[in-house]
Amino acid sequence: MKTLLICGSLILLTGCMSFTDRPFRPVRDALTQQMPGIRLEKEVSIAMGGGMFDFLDAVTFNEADLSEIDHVQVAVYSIHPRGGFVDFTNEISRESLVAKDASLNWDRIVKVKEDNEQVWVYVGMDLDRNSLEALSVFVLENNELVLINMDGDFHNMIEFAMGPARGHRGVYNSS
Amino acid sequence: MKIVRRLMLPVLLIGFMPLANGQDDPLDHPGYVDFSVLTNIASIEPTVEVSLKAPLLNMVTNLIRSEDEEAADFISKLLRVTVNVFKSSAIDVSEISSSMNDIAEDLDDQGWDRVVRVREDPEHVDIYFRLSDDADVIYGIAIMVAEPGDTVLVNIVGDISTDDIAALGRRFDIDELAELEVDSIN
Repeated sequence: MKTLLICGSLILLTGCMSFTDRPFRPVRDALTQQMPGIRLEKEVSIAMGGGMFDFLDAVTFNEADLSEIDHVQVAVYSIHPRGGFVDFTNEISRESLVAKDASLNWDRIVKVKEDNEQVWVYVGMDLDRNSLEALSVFVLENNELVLINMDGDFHNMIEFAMGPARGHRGVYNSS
Repeated sequence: MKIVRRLMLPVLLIGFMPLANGQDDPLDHPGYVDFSVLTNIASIEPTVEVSLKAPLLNMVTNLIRSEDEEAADFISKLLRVTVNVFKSSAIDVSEISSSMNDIAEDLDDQGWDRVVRVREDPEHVDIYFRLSDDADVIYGIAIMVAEPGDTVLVNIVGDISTDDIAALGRRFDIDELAELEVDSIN
């Protein structure tokens, strides 16, 4: 019975996962179109669907409240030719997200630029619904580009994330 | 630097919370400060840029309203939060301090109130508040810090009541803000 349950769980969970970079292909293609001198080759990618988060909610008795997350996608690309200097401008990164989902208003909220690493954090907003729909992160380090994307309703997730901080000095206490 | 760090905490916390008056252009708001002269002098890109605008702030406001109405009300009055941090030893502190002095003079001329000024060579700190005529509302906060290897520029734009600032100080246990009185600024 235990084996059957484990097999069933594996089938269920792997059914909610894929290892293709398909969700990022519009981003990848937009980047290479805007920067024809580079080529991006997938190294690793993983995409998790809502079923995975429903499962996590079930095993945590809804404590994490992740069921509102629709997708989490991560892809790692190597940049060719290697050794060259690559500098994505704000416009290039934003346009690549527009290529992925033009229905959202993409706004860069954080940019970090250090010697060998650059990070951009974008939020995708549906201004008509007044909702935060997506969070995308670009990490460029040496000759690797990491793309992370999360879609869904962030309301409960952020409330959950803020929970442990309540009551500590420097953070507001709602009680 | 202690006071700067203590002010930076609520600044950053505020930034990740909610907002409201998205219909106005914050660039035309009396609390907006154009730091482009300083960023040009630095002649490098900021190491860290945080830019939180009204639509995002508005959304995040809704996230905490059920948790804390008072904090939500405060954050709903923010229009824009920008933080630029430059970490480079290549920046000429004396040159950028000189330009900060020019901006500080402009802020003085425009009616901003200087809250903190530190001139301890090579450390240079200016913190300004822009108050409404009746001093009931803080339209903007400007922070400029320069020291070897670090330059920090912060501008918060909104329509923040001084009562909200005191409430924020109590909420975050920051005595300097909790005890803030407009009369003490003027």
